[in-house]
Amino acid sequence: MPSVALREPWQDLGHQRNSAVLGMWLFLGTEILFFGGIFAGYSVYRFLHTADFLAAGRETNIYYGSVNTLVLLVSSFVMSLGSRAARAGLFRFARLCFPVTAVLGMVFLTLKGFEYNDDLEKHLFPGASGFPLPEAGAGLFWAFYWVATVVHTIHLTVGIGAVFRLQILSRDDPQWLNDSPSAEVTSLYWHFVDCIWVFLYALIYLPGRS
Amino acid sequence: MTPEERHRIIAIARAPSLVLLGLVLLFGANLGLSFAALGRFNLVANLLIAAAMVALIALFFMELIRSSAIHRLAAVVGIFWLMFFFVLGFADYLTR
Amino acid sequence: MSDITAGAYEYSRTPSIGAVDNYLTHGRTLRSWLVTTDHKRIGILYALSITVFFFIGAIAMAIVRLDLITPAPDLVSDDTYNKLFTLHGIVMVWFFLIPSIPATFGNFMLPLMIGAKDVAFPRLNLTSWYLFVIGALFTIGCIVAGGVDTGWTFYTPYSSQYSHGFVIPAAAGVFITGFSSILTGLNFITTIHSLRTPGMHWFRLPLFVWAMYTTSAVMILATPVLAMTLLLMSAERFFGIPIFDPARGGDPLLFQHLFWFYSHPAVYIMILPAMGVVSEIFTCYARRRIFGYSFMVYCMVGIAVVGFFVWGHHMFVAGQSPFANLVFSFMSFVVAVPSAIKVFNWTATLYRGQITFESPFLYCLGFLWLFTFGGLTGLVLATVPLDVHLTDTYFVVAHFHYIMVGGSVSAFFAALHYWWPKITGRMYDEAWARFAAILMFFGFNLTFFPQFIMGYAGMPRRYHAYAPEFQIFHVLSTAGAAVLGAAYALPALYLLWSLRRGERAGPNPWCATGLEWQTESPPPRDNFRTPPVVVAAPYQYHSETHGPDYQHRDIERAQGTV
Ligand SMILES: [Cu+2]
Repeated sequence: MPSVALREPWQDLGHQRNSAVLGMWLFLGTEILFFGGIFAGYSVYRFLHTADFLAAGRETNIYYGSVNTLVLLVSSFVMSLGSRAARAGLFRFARLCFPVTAVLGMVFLTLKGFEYNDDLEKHLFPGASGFPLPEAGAGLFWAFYWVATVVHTIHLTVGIGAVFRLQILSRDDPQWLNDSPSAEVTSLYWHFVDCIWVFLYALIYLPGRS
Repeated sequence: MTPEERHRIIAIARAPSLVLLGLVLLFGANLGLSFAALGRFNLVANLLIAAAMVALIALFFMELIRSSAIHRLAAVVGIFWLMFFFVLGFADYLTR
Repeated sequence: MSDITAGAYEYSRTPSIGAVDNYLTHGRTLRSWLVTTDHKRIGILYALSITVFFFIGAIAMAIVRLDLITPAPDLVSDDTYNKLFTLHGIVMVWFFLIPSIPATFGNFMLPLMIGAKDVAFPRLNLTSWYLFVIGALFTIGCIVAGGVDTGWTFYTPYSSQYSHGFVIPAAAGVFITGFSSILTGLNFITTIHSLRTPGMHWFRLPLFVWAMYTTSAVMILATPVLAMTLLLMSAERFFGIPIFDPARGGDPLLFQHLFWFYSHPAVYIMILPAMGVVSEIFTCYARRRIFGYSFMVYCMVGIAVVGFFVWGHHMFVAGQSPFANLVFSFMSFVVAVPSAIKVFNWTATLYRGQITFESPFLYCLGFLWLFTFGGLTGLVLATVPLDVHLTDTYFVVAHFHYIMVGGSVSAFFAALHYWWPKITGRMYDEAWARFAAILMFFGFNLTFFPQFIMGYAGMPRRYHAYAPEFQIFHVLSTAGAAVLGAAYALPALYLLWSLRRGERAGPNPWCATGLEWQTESPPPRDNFRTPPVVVAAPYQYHSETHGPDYQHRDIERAQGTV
């Protein structure tokens, strides 16, 4: 009997998997250029207002940023264990890894929430009155801080949903994790969101520390 | 969990564990270096280390190292196109 | 008749067309259309949606053109005038031209042409259409609420700080629709990689499939940048955070860089599919192989890549550095080379062809002239000193309408007439179709040629009131628009008529060689009753050793073999 994971118009699972993975990589290519707009704008303004950006970068909370980076790196590690386990047929272990990944994602979101709260208490939102930094470029830096981290947070939230989807769909039929390309595709997306964060961390939290 | 399962899990986890170790070390280096007074090379160091971390994630966690050529091509094409923007965009900003 | 597939023999034994199940009879309820994952039905859903938008955009411009008959701004208020041309631009670019050929004929024909059952991700394909509809609802909502007056380019700081229009809903509509075209693009690329029928090598793909491939690549790589640009602009407008605001250290030119990084390649999203269509049709009606197949492929790939290196030609007078002007000007000349090669190759394809002037061919001839003229005037605009004189005049308006309307829309109508028998199973009235094609060519030139002249003489674009010496050109242009409107409306009449009264088309009324003609018209739900096998390159309209007159369709018709 063909697996329930096999969908139209495919005739075998391997072909389906390869194509789904290609589709996800193409989507990630799109995502690179989507975030690319932020990276490009940030780079132009950092070039035009170098000193202001360093001063503004110093105001970010490096503790939250660094802990969150570690949380995401570990989550990526767990996710990669999950997708490898699914491929190897170790479904119980895989179904252990996915919730851990998702919880780590939620830890990130929680810390991010606390960080946003701190930022707002310090009036570090450049659109509102009382923004404390006098340099022209500082406002730009913080505008990009908010846009970039919020867009990243939305992506991470989608990722958490996708990981839970794996858990739900494999509840009655763990073999699905192996047949369907979902585990591999979800893991690609999860790792990509982490890659974006690694760059955001270097661009947002690290400038102006020396 | 049977001992056989445990063995297989350990076998699976070996490579990712090493990668995680590398990632954490690179992360520490990035954080530490940002406090060193390197002038404009702070940015260079930060970005190079970040790029190395992303390369580790892409190669081992996203398994590009064992992917087919077409998947690798799809993975790098976005980066290339972003570089087009940087090269031509900065052709303006650097010469104004 | 054709030696391209083994499957060709198979279908000729199937019973008469009306008796068998096809994609149209496969479920007749409205619901069966709204939840369909059939690429053919999704193509038709797109076709119906963009037709609605085509008429919305056309009506907006009809009012503008009527107003411009007199130099005084008398028909509508200045504010309404701005909103009308903005509406025309947004709707025509994102809700008609971008999806026009790819989402309709691409969706319908691509799997058929490579011998596949469907696209790679059928449910994602349906999702794309729903995203298009949601984006469309935002845009319609924006119109109903009072419109937007920024022009289709959404330039900051006007859009992000000063405009009183509904900028964010309009941008949201474009943003969401953008994801529809991204998903369509990745679906097409995966389909072409994964689902080619046995024997369909990369260099046996019909050029329309290559056109879809390159278009999809541009969609995937350019559209996300537009999405982020609009997001940044909307964030600045909604939250008041500084992003492009020059008063707070921002750079409005950054917006233009990001915007044109998408919007110049967007022109190639519109024109590459048109090039694919023209290659199919010229070969078919000239009974010729395409001249220089591999060059045609390389040129499309070249256009898709180099098309990303030229965006700065929209910013020559905006404050970009002279060095960047030089670079972008040079690259704009470079990108004209592959387009020119294609024009020469089409011409060489026609040389010594056994040409019959059916309506799709006439539309394509129109394309060839208008695209060439539009392309050459593009070189004029790519020349920095000339652009300083011509920028923001009607010369620019005429130039890009020659490419987008003269080029893409002509090709859209060519595709519509060429594939209509395949899609519906019916023949339309050829005499009316030829008349409409010729009328469209004349109406188009009457509308837009005067705009070159008045633009060169200094008539600025987007002006509501103008100096009286330009009136004659505006009157001619408006008269042309009326002719053009009639030429667009005519096909709606005779094509609808053909649905009921048209002769049955049979599988291959044009004796064409593509795989899509090797199945019934309309095709069955799964496209092919027997999976086709490809044994040769496309466009085998004459054998290797004989001239093109070897298999002339008129001869075949006379012999009753068709
Ligand atoms: Cu352009």
